[in-house]
Amino acid sequence: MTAGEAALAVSGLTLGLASGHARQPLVEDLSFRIGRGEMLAFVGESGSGKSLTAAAIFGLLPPGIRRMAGAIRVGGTELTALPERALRARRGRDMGLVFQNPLTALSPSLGVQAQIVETYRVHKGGTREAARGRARALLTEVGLSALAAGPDRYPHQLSGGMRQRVMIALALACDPGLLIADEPTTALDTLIQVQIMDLLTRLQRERGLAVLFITHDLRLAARYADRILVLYAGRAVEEGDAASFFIAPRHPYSRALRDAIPPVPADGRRLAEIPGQPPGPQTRIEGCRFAPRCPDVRDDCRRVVPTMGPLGVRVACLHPGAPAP
Amino acid sequence: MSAGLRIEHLSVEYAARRRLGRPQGDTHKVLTDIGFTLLAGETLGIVGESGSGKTTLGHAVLRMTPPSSGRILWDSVDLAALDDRGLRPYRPHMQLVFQDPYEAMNPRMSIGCVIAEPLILACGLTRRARRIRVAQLASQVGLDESLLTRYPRELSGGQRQRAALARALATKPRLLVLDEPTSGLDVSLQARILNLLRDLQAEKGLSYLFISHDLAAVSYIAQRTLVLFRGHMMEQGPTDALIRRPAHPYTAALLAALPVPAERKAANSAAEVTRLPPDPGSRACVYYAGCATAQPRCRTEAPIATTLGDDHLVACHYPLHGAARDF
Repeated sequence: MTAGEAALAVSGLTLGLASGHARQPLVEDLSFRIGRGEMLAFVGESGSGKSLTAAAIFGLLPPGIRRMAGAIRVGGTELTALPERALRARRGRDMGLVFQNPLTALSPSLGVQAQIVETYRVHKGGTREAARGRARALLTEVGLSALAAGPDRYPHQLSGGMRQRVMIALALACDPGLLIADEPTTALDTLIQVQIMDLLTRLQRERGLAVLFITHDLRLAARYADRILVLYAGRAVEEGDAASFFIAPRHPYSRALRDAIPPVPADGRRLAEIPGQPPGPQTRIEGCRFAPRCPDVRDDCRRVVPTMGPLGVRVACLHPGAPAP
Repeated sequence: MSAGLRIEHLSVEYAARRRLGRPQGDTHKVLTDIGFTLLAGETLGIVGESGSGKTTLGHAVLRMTPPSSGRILWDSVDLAALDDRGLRPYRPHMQLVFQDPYEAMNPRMSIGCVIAEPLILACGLTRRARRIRVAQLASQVGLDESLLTRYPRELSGGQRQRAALARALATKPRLLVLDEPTSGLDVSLQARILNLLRDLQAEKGLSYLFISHDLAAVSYIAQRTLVLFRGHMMEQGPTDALIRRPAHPYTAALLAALPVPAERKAANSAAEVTRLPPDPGSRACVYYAGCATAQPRCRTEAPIATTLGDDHLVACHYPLHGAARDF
């Protein structure tokens, strides 16, 4: 991480239902930073709050859910203090978003080059010609030089991998410092998945882009991200260096996640299962939220809420496993 | 040889275009000359990307899609030669579990009714006997009995997949075609369903056709694996041999794309190949355009499956030798 201002700094973010009472927040006291040129992976199961956090950063929370506390700074600007108008100007310009399904995110009735031109001109203005040149350069940068040179194409004429590349070009149209990629490869075939992740890491390095990579695939996160943050039921449970994470996760939930992945080739052992299921927002749990499912639970886990601690010791567990050697 | 499923030279084609309901012009070949044997109590993994024909293969085996040629031998009876009426006695033997159980369930039927439906159609039990059987099926798949009165939308993804399994087991089948049964599930749920499938197999001697794009899940559950690419068999053999010593460049590419955390950011793990795909009418290998090791011969002559010993088949002129990758 660079010294000084991080590309994205979130602190104490708490999201909850706007109505109702005495319920658990959906995301609670979440803090993390992403430096320039760095990729942080959010790993967690469905309902853990990964995508909700991304929506909060973009100021696009679904109706009925609101931010109850916390600060979100992108490139040094506090976003939560901005009025909607100012926030809208920053979406797309300071931060780009890539979704899981590009076909629903792209307009079906406009050529892909035209969509990039439109986005660029809305934020940066300038002549149509200049924007068109910019669109061609972007398409080339994401490996679609054939599309950049040839006639414009509609999204339905492209393959899934090409569409996701277009989506990335669109997200980068205005040179944002931050890119949020929400399950960008989940809908893609294995071979294409690798190409898209290679592209994202290349852009991250070449452009000094800060990337928030949201995934449920711990293996992908460990292979491509610089750091991993594991979320469970709306709380961060562990954050660490991606390289050592897979070898020695410290939180019992992280360990359980890793041990549930079938190894290749198979080693003949039975896959570890996590008993029970994650608590819903209605369930109130005293102490650690993972305690009811934890294999190493002790008495104090049901009373004391573990916190992540300062930078360096980033595991929210009262009795964590040994750190990586 | 114990009784099982034997597929010989199975092909499926669809009419390329339809006008006024009638097929016009060319046909589109979805599966070409597929053959394999699945023994009782064993699992065969079918691996391929979208469009490889893996779902069609599952459907063709169950005669849900009519094969255009080839034989489907079940207990030495050729199912491909039977008409709908002749097939009826064999239908309960084999069942299908879909990727998305929610889409496959009537949203207005309770889970108990969903599981009971095949019993009404195939087994002719009394209402009382049915209720007992449904409860028994639910407990076999670890589905809480209190959920039987709920509706599909009230269940979680993992619970729905258990209900789908219970329904498939209702007719006491010997073969289950599992079409991406764990793809929509979180890892922790995937592990539980995979373990449940293994337990059921050990208990009942079921055979599985396990269709998946996920080599990791396949390697966990399948003794043998068949790799499909655009409707053609690329390679098949014992899963362990196929993963440790892939002979086909396509299998090797799939394995290289598997995210292995230890190999961080191995650059160009799947280099983009820009060779143009062969013309549809040409004799080229179907994998020619994507192949990292293609030779001139691959453009003019389609390889036929040859054996590497140990039941390991590969359709490639230049199979890879030795370990392509250390684990």
